[in-house]
Amino acid sequence: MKQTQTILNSPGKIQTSKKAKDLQEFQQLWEKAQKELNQKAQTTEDKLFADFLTNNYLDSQTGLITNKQHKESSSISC
Amino acid sequence: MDKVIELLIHKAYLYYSNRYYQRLHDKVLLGKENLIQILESAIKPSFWSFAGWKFDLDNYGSKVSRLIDLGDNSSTYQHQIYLNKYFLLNFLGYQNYTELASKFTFIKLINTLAHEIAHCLILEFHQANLDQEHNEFHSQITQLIEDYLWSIPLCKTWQEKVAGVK
Repeated sequence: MKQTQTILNSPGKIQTSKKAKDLQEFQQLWEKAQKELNQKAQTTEDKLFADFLTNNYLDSQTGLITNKQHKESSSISC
Repeated sequence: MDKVIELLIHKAYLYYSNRYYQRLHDKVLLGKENLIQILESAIKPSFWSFAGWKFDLDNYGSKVSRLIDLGDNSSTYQHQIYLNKYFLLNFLGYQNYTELASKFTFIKLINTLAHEIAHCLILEFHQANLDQEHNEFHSQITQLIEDYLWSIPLCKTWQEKVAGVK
């Protein structure tokens, strides 16, 4: 009985483990790009992209790219 | 004209956000299909609108941003941009002979739009706490958006239309 359960659960486990691995790889590449750009960004475009990578992350709970500093509301007149 | 302004706002947002997502797609994730799938589902669009013309003696424009709860422990921004009503009156030909006509030009409207959009972009994509600053960072994004807006043929067409009223 125990053995049957293990076999039945396997495909799901493999899928979860692959997804976790993909997420980890995504985050690693994000952080690598962020570090490299922060060190050598010269152009405005590179600097803006480096800032974007620094201030956002992939939230593993929601699976969404999220800003590190949430603000509930903001208004300005200028 | 309201819808044209809203369209310009949307295009500016897509232009700016796509710069990052495209670069992530091509250069950071190195075209790996499994990671690109994660990226595509991780992108969280925000809501942008032109909220209308406002009578204001001190400002060319303003913006209000709110965080909207999506009900799954995540949220996204709703950005509303306002422009001074003097722009509209000027374009309709009501102020041709006043001093205001020289200030509320179509060029100034596009600059104001870029200026307000830049505040919203900083809130959404960069250091959210600095979204109200008028610093070098804000100037760079404003310039980027302004250049982009002028590259859209619709923008030039409306500049000519407005000039034709006078």
